[in-house]
Amino acid sequence: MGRPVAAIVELSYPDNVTLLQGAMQNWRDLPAKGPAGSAAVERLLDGLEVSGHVLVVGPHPASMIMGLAQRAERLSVVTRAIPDAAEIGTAVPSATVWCGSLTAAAERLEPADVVVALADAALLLSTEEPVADWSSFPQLLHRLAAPGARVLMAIENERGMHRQNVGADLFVRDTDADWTPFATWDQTRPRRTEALPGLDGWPGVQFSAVLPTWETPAVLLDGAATVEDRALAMAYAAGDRRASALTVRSVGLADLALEQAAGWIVRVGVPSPGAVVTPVGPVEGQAPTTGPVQTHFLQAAADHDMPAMRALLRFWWEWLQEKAVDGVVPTGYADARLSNLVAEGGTLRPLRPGDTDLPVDRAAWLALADVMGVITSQGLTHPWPTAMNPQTRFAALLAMAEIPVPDDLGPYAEPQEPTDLSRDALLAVIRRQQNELRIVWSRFHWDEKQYAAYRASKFSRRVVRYAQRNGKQLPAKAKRLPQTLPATAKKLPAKAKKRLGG
Amino acid sequence: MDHTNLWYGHAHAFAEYCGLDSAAPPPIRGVIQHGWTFVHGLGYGHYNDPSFTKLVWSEISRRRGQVIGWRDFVVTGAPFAYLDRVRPREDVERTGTIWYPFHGTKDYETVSGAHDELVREIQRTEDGPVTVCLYYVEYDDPTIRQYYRDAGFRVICHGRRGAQWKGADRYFLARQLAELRRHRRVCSNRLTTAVMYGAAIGCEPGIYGDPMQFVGGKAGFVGDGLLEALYPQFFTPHVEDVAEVREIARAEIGMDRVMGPDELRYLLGWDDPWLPSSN
Repeated sequence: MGRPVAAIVELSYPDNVTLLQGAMQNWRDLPAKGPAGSAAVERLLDGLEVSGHVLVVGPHPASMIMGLAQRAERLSVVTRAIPDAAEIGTAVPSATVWCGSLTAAAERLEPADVVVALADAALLLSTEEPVADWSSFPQLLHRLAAPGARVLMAIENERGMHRQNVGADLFVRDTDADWTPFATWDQTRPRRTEALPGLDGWPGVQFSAVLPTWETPAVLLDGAATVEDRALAMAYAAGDRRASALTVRSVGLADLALEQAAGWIVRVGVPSPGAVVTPVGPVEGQAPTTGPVQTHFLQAAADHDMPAMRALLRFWWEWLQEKAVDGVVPTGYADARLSNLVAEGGTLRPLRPGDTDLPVDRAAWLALADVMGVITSQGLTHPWPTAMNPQTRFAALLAMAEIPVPDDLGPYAEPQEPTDLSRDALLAVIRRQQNELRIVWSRFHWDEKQYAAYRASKFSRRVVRYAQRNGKQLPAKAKRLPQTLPATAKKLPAKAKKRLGG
Repeated sequence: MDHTNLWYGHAHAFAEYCGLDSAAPPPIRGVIQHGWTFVHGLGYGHYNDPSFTKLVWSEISRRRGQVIGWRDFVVTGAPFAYLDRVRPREDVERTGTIWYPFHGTKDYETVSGAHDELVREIQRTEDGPVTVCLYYVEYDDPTIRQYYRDAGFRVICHGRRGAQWKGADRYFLARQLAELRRHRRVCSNRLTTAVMYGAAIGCEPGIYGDPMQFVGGKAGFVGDGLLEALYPQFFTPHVEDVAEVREIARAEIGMDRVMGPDELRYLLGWDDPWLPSSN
């Protein structure tokens, strides 16, 4: 059963929150996942002209809303979960927070000069209302946007690279959020970029593609990007540990970054933040002619091509040592992960700098722990024996490039791995499976007691004593059990009927 | 079986629908939602055997249960909906109002308020005969009962709920169905099961008057302010759009979720055709 009462929340919210139809008492969407909670997507807001009435639709981080509130004349927020509304209302006292469905809010709100809807429509639908088609949401947003308004609207892509090669189809996970898993995933939801501009009455619609995952976007790619920009964006996307490395490789090779993006953010009247944008801002540079070094390494590992693995690692180790000064790798090269490096002109180039200077050995250990983590967490094929201890395996990896082995292999060989499920979601899966086991055992015990009671009602005292010893909680009315059988008893097999005295 | 299945004659109504002896319904392998709520329909702290299916009235109840981590729901619709199907309708003209003052329970929460003021509010609002149906807790209190009798209202009680497998009145729901079928309006001072039942089968609902204090209500199960937001159409002495609230009530009671007798029997655990010892 889990936690039946603790999950029910006491109703409490500040005065700047108004409850509407669709308000959900026992649900939280925050902390926001997806574009609404992403640092990369916040770069879109840097170029957003904020003035007049700003409307934020869906669960967004309070910090983001606070930033908008400081620039807006008036700020309204619509969110479905009461605890989230309370959090936002408390953090941003100047905001007017409407808690309920967007349909209900649209009856009360005045048109806005800026509409920020970076949460997918699936996060706007309430348990309290019937399922609505996806198309109803852009229609509602259009109604809420004043003429000439600036609009940002996020749309998750069902065909996105983040939904390929996942452990379990996202429609069958059955997490607490999946009360109607196909809601808004109907025919009207765009699944191709050519379907995006079909938002009636909105001129000059442009978009940014979200890569590589929806829950933790790392890169924004402009819809009008060149082939070189798309390759550059996919090189950055490959560095996201939450993305499937092989899927990202495949999408990059096929040049399908826009069509198989995790989703899109439609921009109306909002300038593009750049062709390729990461959390720190727009990036430029030559597009890699090949994918990140990691891609080549993973391919060689899957192919059991250990000579190729050794050659690549030795080349990389020599490069890293050249960059080190007095045994320390400067910040600009300290993120030496294979996923962060591309081959260029006979050498290697990092896509992003590191956070701090690092001793060269430690930079190497961290980098190779990362690639080993990708292999093990994503279940990729590798040439080492299954029974090989993870620490020994890591040492063998280091030995391929004759890299010194750390005194303590533990932190490098068995680090925490990100998954596509949050910690709470994983715990929910465990609880559900424990419940399923309890259910099965309970059903077994129930049936055993029923059978024991049935036998007790038909047979000798000796059997009754046996049943009482072994089925301790026999129903008190065991002897009357046959009389409570339904009329369908007449349909029982002859043998059973005879046993029941029929 | 779970003792709450016997409340109000719910298990008995299912048995009657399935063509079984309604005086002795077989044990149900599940727990029936026993009242309309804005939570999940199964009450505070309700714990059942993990193998018990949660038999809820509406899709909304199922969704609300899912978000707090519960699973194994089946939306059957309310037993009231099944009784409405099997009990023949009499051709009587609906008249008057049946009024349900919000009630407490002997074992969980209580309701405290001024019944005399509520009487005056009813007299100001209703223009026809009024039947006041008190829950057995209030009905057993002669002081409360007298307030309504002195006002000239017809005062009734549908029966006792029972507790721990004893004392449940299996005709409760049938009496309630009969009364709701003959009254034109159904009213209360809070949005309750009775109002939903009545609205679903053709009464004009109304919510007005002092909602009174709900003493001992558990956190998250009180809903003050929330119900007015979720169901604003109901919170008026005279609803504007009766057809709209009727559709809402029918969805909340699960009138469109009624199953056939065979399907219901299998779901309730009353028939496992592959088991020789099937109950």
